[in-house]
Order: sequence, then structure tokens, then C-alpha cells
Amino acid sequence: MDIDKKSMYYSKATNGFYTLEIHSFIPEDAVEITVEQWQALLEAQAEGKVIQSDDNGHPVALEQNMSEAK
Amino acid sequence: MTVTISGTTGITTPANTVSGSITFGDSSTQSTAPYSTAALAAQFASSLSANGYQKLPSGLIIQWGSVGYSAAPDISVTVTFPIAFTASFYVAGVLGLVTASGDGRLFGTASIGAPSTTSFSIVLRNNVNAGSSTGIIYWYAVGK
Repeated sequence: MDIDKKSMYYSKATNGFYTLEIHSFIPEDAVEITVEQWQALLEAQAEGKVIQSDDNGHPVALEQNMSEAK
Repeated sequence: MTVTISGTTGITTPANTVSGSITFGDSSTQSTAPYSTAALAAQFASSLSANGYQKLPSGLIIQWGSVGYSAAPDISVTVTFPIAFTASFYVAGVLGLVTASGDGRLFGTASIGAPSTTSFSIVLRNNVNAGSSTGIIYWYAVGK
């Protein structure tokens, strides 16, 4: 499987990533993103950012307010 | 053993998909089924990188990654899985690596909170002192 030809999907409702290679069900609100965008989001997360949805339902990596654990 | 590949055959292009059979068990119980490399790849879907996943034919999915942090003394960090589990989260583990901190001491504990099929949180607690720390948390998660 050539990873570059695989599309990824992001759902605002679940804040999760999906691919047809694995998931037979993808949430209705999911938007399609490229593998490169998906990898960039994961790399941003590894640097301490948090993956969230923007107003249009697309995933973005934002500075995380590392809330104090109670 | 010598393997010689000649001509234009490439096993990674769909036009040249390799077909064959895989045999399991001994001759009395063996069964054979045709598999193409594409079908096998789908059974073992994966993304192998620093933040990735590996699916097995049983449906089990193993995922892993890391998250950097710079805060303290007690914080909660949200991690979105590289891929959503299709049905269930089973277990996750976290390992902390402190790369710099006020006095060089490790934080006390790293534990897991609020696991779902799409994300979980890592809770760090500094049981040593009230100082802050900076580092990387490595994690893995298993589910299906």
C-alpha cells in the first residue's frame, strides 16, 4: 500500500482520525485531509500541541493549555 | 540464496500485483487461500513513523507516539490517537523522559485519564517537589 495515495478523514464530532483502509464506518461530519496534513498534525502534537477542530470542522494543532491536574 | 529481479516487474505497483497462496498448518489440516499483496497489506494496514499504528488481521490495532510537555507540577495533556479505534480501547502505557527540569529530578507519576476510541489524556504529577519540568512522554495504546 502506497501511503501517499491514502486519504485520511477527521471528524470534529469525535475528534478522531479515520481511513477507509481500516474503518468501514466514518462519521458523517468527517472531512478529508491528506496524509501529509495528518502527519503534520501528529508531529505538532508530539511537540506539545493539541489537535482540535476549527470552526469549519477541519483539524488544527493549537497551543495546549496544559491544565493543572486536580 | 540469490534473488534476481529482472525486467520491469515491481511488486509495489498495482499493475504488477503478486498473487499466490499462503499455506498454514501441516498437510492434514492445511488450508490454502489466495492472497494478493494488496489484500495482505490491507490486513496489516500500518503507518510506521514516530507517531503511527499497526493493524493486525484479527482487528487489533497498536498505536504509539510521543508528546512533549513543558509545565508543572501537575498537568494533564490530551493525546489524539493517530487513528481512531474502530470499536474499543483496551490499554495504554506511558513512559516519561525528562530532558530538563529545575533540579533534574523526575516527576512523580504519569498516568492515563479519560481513554476513548479517539483520544486519551496523560496526567503528570510531580510528587517530588513543586518545581516544573520539561520533557517527552512516550505512549502506546492497544485496542481494536
